[in-house]
Parts: sequence; structure tokens; C-alpha cells
Amino acid sequence: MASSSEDMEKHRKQYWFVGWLLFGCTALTLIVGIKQYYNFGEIFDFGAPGVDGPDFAVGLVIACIKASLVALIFMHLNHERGLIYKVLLFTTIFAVALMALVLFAKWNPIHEAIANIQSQFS
Amino acid sequence: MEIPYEVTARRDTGLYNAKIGIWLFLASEVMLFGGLFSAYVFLRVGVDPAQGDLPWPTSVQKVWIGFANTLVLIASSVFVVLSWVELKQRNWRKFQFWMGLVIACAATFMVLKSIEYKAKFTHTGIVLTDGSVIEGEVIGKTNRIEFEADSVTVNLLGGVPGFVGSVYKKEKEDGDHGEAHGGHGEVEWEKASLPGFTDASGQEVGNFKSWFLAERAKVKNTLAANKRAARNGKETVKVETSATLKAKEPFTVLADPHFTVAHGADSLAFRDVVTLNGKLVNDTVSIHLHEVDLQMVPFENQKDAQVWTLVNNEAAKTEWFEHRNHARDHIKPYYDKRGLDIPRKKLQDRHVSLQAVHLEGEGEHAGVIEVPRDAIRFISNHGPRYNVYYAIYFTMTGLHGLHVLGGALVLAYMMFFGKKLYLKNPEHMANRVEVGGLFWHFVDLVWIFLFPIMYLF
Repeated sequence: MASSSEDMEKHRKQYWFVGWLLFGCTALTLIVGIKQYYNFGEIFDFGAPGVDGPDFAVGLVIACIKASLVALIFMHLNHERGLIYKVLLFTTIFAVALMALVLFAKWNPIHEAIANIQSQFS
Repeated sequence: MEIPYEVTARRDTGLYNAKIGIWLFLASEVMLFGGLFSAYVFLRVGVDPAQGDLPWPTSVQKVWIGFANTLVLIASSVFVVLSWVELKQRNWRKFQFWMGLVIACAATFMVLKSIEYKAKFTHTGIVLTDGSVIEGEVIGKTNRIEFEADSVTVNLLGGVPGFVGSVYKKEKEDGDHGEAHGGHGEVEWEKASLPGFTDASGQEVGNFKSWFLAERAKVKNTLAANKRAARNGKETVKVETSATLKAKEPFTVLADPHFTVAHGADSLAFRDVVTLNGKLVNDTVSIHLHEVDLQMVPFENQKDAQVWTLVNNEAAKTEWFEHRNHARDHIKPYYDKRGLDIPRKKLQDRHVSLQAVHLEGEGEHAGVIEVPRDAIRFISNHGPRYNVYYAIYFTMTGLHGLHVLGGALVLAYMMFFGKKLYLKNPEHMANRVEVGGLFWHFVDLVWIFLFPIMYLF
């Protein structure tokens, strides 16, 4: 990283700005989360009253934005060396795979296979 | 020994060594928390109240604590990166100032967390046999079974955890301090010390533990001899695997129902196959009622839920239904406008079917109801055992809390003991702070996701 005094001053301002942005995003998440009967789903008519799916999705999108800000600015990923991106590429693949595992909650091949075998004998 | 590339970058990686190290470590941390987040989703989609699971309790947390903790961690992230900037500019005092604020934030986080945990551990839920739930605060130790025993039947092949284990602990305590402490696990003892026991032949049993181990060894040896005899075609002897000890005077225990398997008016059986014989003294839980939760009772049957016979207070019942109907009426216009019925899921959810109850009364027992144990399907405080939500909540927030603690310790070390290195090689010190800061930001990043999924949605 460049580290001249001027650069550092610029960074300092940027860190404060991002900090306030993160505070703002947190407040926004709170509003989406605690307003029980008035919410995104109802405004845009793709959900129902009460905090539910659409609100959850909005809340998670805000969380992702916040996480990106922390990673890019505070953790300096916006200008890092190639090797770190390579390491993180693998991490991302595995993390996505871990999340994809939950699809088994809806579709269980083992259970289906057993049911198939059972049906052959009944 | 001089470790290379602490300050200058390696030519092949383009990074100083600690940085590539911390990123590899953080990559493994992503896997760790990723697995837990995946487990969270699994558990959440798998909860099925129709199968008797408690519903996923959305917005059950004190949101202000989660919110405050989010702000505290974000602020600490800003402070840690500012402290690094100060080191880069060679301002040791200012570095210490910002780092001090980071440590203060970590301490605030942990204090708020402990307030939150304490509230969970002192709040109890009782699931009744029809699925209605009473929530509140148990009075005294009435969640335990109070039993006065005059004899004990032990199974000599049984395991140690359970009643026998608690006698071991009690004997050790009596030996160590000469007085009772109680409060551990399976059984609490009302009396200051254990009563003496006599065995079937009337002989006095000195130390319970030595007696139990000796008798157990005898039984095991006889069984082994029998096995050999049977193999050689010889006659075997009859083995008595249980023994009854008489207490010199009746003694009272408070048994944790999770460690018992059955009990009646004159006996109490523990899961290590020990039975106490005597009389049941108290088997009614007294609870200070805060809320009635009927999420597992069909909407139209809620008026006849089992909980109302226990509450036995018309005014409280009327108030509960007023609140429930008010909540239902609040969402009704949305569906009316679209010509739809309110979906069952909405009627059964926490915002409609869980309401506070205020019981009027005077004195010590104001607002307290008595719940007989045979009306209880399950009782627990809101600890990890209560339902899958609390299990994963304590696992994830607990692990995160340990990360906060570990990170704060490392950063505090740098703040208090880093001066020497700073004077020797300030850039090396700045790199250390950068690496510690990267870990700290990761801890913040995990919380950014924990806050919405645990507290809000």
C-alpha cells in the first residue's frame, strides 16, 4: 500500500466516511426488521404483512453491502496483491458449496433412493 | 533468530509473510463460520411445528442489544484502522488512544452480550401437553422434583452419571468443606450432609463411593466367572445386580427432571437406574407468568387451550385474546383488499399468537401460577436445550464472542507492550497492527450477518 502522509490523510477521511455509511446501513436494516406491519413486501406488493421473506432478503442484501464495504475498504481488498485474491477465490467456492448444501433440505437423494427401493418390494 | 519478510515483501508473493498468513487463516475462518451459517439455514428450514418442534422464534431477541453491539463493533473497526494510520505516521500516543477505544468497544460488546445471555438463562418456557407454552420466571427451585427418600435401590451395573455420580460429588464436598453447596447438575441436597446408609444385612455403609465400587466389582467378577463357567459347561450362580440401601434418617433431594426417567407418589427413578423410595413432596412448578404462547395450538382452538385452566383467571384470558385479535385485525385489511383469507401461518405466528399476560394479585405470589408436572411436556430455560434456534444461537454468538475476546487480547497486548518493537522497527509494528486489524474486521464482518439473522428476521 502507498503510505505517504498525504495518502494517509486521504485514508483517514475515507475510513470515517465508510464508518458513517455502515452506521446508516445498520439503521436501515433495523427499520426493515422491526416494522412488523409495514414493510417492503407490502409496499411493492410481493409479500405479506409482517416481517417475512422479502424483508429478510432486503436485510441480507444490506448486510452483504456492509460486509463488502468492510472487506474492500477496511481490509484493503480494493488494492491488494493477486495472491490474496487467488486464496479468496477458493474460499468463495467452498463457502458457496457450503451454502448450496442446504438444498438437500428440500431434495434428499438418499431418502428418495430408499423410497424407490422400498416401493420395489411393496 | 531473525524471521525474514516481516517488513519487506517477498518477491514471489509480493506480500510480507504475516499478511499472507493472516489471509490464509481468515480463509479457514470463513469455512468455520460458513459451516455454521449453513447449519443455521438447515435448522431453520427444517423446523416443523407439525412434528412437535417449537416454532422458529423470529424477533425473540432484545433488538436494542443486537443493534447497540453492531454499532459498537463498527465503531471499533473504524478505530482499529485509524490506529494503524497513526502508526504509519509514527504517532505512538495517538495509536494508543485509538487502540484503547477498540479495547473499550470490545469490553462494551462483552458486557452487553452477558446481559443478554443472563436474561436467557433466567427465562423459562414450559410446553404443556397440548402444545401451549407458558413463559416466565420459575420461582425458587420448583422446576426440580422434591422427594423425601428413606431408601435407595442402586443398579450395580449402572453408570456413574446420575444419582450415583451426584452422591460421589456430594461426598467429596462433604469431605472437602464439611458443608453442603448443592447447585450442581442432577441432584441438589436439602440436608447439610449425606445421611448414613445400611445395607440389606443391616451392616453400616461407610463411604458410598467405596461401597458402590466394591459391590460393582464383585458383581462384574461373578458375571465374568459365570461366563467362563457357561463356556466350560459348568453350573452358574445367580447374580443380584441391584442392592437396596436404607437411609438412617429420611433425606430430601431436589432432582433435575432431565436426569430422571420416571417418578410416582412413592418412587423416583434416575437415568442411571437408581430408584429412590419414599414420598414425593412437591411436583408442581411455580412460575411467574409473563407470556402465553399458543403458536402450536390451532387458531380456532386457542380459547380451549390447556394453559387457561392453569391460569384460571378470566380477566387475564380476556386481555390476552383482546391483544391477539388486535394483532390479527392489524393484518386483516391487507388480505381483505385482495379478497384473501389470512393464511394460517400468519395467524399462528408469534406476533399474533404470543401475547403477554398480566395477572393481578398481591404479595409474594402475585402473578404466579402452579403447573403440575403431569401437564408438562417439556420445561427448560431459554438455554441451548430449549429449541434448535437457541442451540444454534448460542453456538454462533458464543463462538463469535470468543473471537472478540481473543482479538481484544491480542490488540491490547500490542497497545501495552508494543513500544519496544515500535522504537526498534516502527514499520514492523505497523504491520502487526494491520494483521491484528484484519482479524478484527473479520470478527465485525461475521457480526454484520449475525445481527439480522439472529435478532431481526
